[in-house]
Amino acid sequence: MNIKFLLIGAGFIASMGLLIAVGISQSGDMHYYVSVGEFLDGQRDNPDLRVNGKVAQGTIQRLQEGQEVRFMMTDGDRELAVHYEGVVPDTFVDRADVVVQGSLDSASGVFEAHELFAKCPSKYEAADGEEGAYGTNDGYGDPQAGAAAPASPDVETAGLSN
Amino acid sequence: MIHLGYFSLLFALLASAWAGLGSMLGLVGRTRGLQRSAENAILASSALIMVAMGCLWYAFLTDDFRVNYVANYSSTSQPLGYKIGALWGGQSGSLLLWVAMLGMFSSVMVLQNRKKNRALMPYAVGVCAAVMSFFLILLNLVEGARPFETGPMRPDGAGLNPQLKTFWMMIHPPCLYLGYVAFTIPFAFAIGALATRRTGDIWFRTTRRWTLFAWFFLGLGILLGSYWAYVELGWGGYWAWDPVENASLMPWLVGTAFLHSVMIQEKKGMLKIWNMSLIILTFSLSIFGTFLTRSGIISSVHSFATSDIGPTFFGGLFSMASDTDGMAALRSGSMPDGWEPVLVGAIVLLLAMLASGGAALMSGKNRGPLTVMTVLVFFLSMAFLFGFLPFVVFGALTLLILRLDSLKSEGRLESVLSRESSFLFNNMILVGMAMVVLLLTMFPILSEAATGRKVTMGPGIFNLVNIPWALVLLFLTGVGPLIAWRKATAKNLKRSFIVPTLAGAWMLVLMLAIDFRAYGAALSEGFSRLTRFDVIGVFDQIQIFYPAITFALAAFVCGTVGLEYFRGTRSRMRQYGQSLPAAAGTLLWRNKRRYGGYIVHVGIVLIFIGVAGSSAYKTEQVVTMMPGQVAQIGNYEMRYDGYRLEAVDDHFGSISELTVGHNGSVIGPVEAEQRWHPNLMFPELRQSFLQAKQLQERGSDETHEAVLGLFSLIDRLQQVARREVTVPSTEVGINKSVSPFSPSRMGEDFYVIQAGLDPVSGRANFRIFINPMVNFIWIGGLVFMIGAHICVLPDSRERRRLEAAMNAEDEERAVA
Repeated sequence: MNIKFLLIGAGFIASMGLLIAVGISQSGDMHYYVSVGEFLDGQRDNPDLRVNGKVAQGTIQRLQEGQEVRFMMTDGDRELAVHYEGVVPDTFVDRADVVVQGSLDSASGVFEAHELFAKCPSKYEAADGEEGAYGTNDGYGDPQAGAAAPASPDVETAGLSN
Repeated sequence: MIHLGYFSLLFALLASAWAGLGSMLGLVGRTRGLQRSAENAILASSALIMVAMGCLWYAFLTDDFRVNYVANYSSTSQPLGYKIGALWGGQSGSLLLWVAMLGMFSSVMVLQNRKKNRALMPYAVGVCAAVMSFFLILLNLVEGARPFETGPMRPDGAGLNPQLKTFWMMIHPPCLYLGYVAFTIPFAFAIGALATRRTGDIWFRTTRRWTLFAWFFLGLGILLGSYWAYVELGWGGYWAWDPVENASLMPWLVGTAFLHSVMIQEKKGMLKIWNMSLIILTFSLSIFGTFLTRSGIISSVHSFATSDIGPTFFGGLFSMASDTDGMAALRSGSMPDGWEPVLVGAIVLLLAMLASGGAALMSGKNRGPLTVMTVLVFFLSMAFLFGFLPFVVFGALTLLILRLDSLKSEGRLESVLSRESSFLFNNMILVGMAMVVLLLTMFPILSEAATGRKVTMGPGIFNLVNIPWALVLLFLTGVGPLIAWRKATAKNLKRSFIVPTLAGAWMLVLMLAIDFRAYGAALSEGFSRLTRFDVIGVFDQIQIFYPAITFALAAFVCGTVGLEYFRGTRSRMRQYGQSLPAAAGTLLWRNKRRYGGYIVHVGIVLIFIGVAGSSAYKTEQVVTMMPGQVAQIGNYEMRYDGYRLEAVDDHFGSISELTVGHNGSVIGPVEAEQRWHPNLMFPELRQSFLQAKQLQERGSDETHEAVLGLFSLIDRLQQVARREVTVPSTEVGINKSVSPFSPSRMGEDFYVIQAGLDPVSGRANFRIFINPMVNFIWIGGLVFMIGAHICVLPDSRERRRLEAAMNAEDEERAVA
């Protein structure tokens, strides 16, 4: 009787293993991805690839009521211009970790993405942390001053703008 | 208050460390005094943790932005409810909540067992104390995980992530944590049972309620999480095989297996090793789940946390780095900043334990506890060197192996067609699925470590492997409760299964007949793929049959449950002459475990139906509309009546007003909303936003203009500051149908996302999903809740069994 149970167990494990192997190798649902630098260095001509990077701060342009976006993707070193048509998730914000799938348009040098996945910035809290609310070095204000002393009067001028 | 919180946590660590040490010393010396002292230390430690939690709450409620954690997860404009809930919005607070719950549960355990289970209690207290100490070490010593770290006073905080600001997200994490944490108690008793060789049924009878409690809240937490994803993340779905979701599913699956297989041990004294392994695995997966959720080691669509605590769980102190990339930290093995106090603490603790071990050795008696303690000391030192999770897994498994001789089975499997076997198969599938999910979740890490290539795993692979086995599991849900013990005879099979099988077959035929052309085509296509060995192609075709198979199996399971209930009621009516409702009621009341379990099964069946229906028949469409226009989506008509602009709480946004009709008749208004949460660190933005908010509060007509002004201010600010100054969030609009009187849209949702709206002209994009039968999932969840509640209601028969087991054990020991 034990032989029977062993056989059933073995068959069960084998079927799961087989399904996993088939799933990973054939289903096309496992995707390799590369970083922006790796893409620019060796994979420029790949017709369909996933590229991972962060949204460069302040580069998001939302067009057509949010149906289309253009932004710069960075790995901290190199940058890649990306264009995507479609609805983006709420997690798609400055410095969000994104994966885009598509190919490079050789004429314009823009990455045309047909898929876009975004994850929250790894440190949401950094919004007022070391990098400061006012951006890094744009001369708009000093993050430390802004954080320590509320409402410095010289920038607090504009009311409603229309 | 900050200092009070800080020192409470510190003393809580000391108290729990003493609880661990004291309970072990008490064991070695067999001194009740030390054991009592250890138990009191648990109570003290939990009280101190509560004080710390109170302090953190106080800081949130008083907007004390000196505390980094408060500044990161709260803001002055955050509504009161979210200030309270922000406590578990981030990592330190979540860990604090975890350990607070553990403290609470351990205290309840201590109070319940002051006079009972004296043999097991010192070990259970020791295990709980060790787990508490681990989390308290994190909270006290690891940079970034400490809740009371302070900085300069800030004028305002960053605010909770807007996507977390829903009612569901406020109750989902505590629910999940109740589940994760409560598995500690059965685990602690299991370790005690192993250590003392009291491997009878006392340990799991004592902790049956704890197990059910943990399993219930974990299940509920998973459901609440899916519901949150469904209404808040705005992608029309509820489950994506995301690592964080998987993290909660795995312990639940193994916990479910455990709940079922202990029944076999209870009745037959079999599967003892298996049950021990299952509870160890469940607890390990709970810890792993916490680690995965809080560490961000695998990227996840909703990992809101990334941090430095990962390696402490997983890779040990020596690879703990203040690097946000967990993998890099794991590989580099670099020394972190601020590790010295941890190391010193570890060495001190280690020395203390070695000393106590030595003292025990001198006394020269009680060899049993001594061995156990040596093992414990060894593995505790391993914990500090290699991380908590390997410590738990390997420590517990080693103990299990050392005790294999006292875990001999009292019976054997006699037939494949028996209740024992069907439970065993259900266990195999549940554990197998959990392992598959674990493997696939970890695959990106393994792949990157092995080949250096980064990968993402899509949901397709998870579905491919899990769905067929989930369907077999559904089938066993029907078989298990009715098939005979030991060996099913033809008579038993006929009596129990003819009616349910007919119900299932009838449903299958009905489903196939509705669209027989499509099924025929799928069948022939499937065969042609099979001849080409295109396995994926075959599965693509098989998938088409999943809903029909699911509905048929659902009918089968409901048939078995219905038949069982009907027979029981009928025999009560005959035997005691009771009326139908009285007989049905007493049947349930006298057999709470059994019938509560059946009700849970029905809940699970409903969830299966909802998942099958909503994933197979879902439709999606994107439309662009001007106010006043009407769009046709499937059988629905949607009129875009207009929109309004608002500034409330901590956000401003646009709300589109829609009227939805189904087949020509209006079924109700729906509102879909997009919100922007302005960064109030910009004085200009802050002023305009507050002004707009005031106008809104006064009900002024100028609100619209003011919000329009905000939109253009933001455009301008973003150009100057060169960054986004708002965080978006979406509120979906849903028209639900939960009424049984509209069969054509039974359980169906009309689900609208406003995916962009021009505030000046009102031109808007809507992304619309029609999700058939999706509400069966939530209704199934309710049924599951009711069933689980019936299972845990006090039952005099259960209590008598536990007492009998305890007496029997005592007598046995007395004789020996």
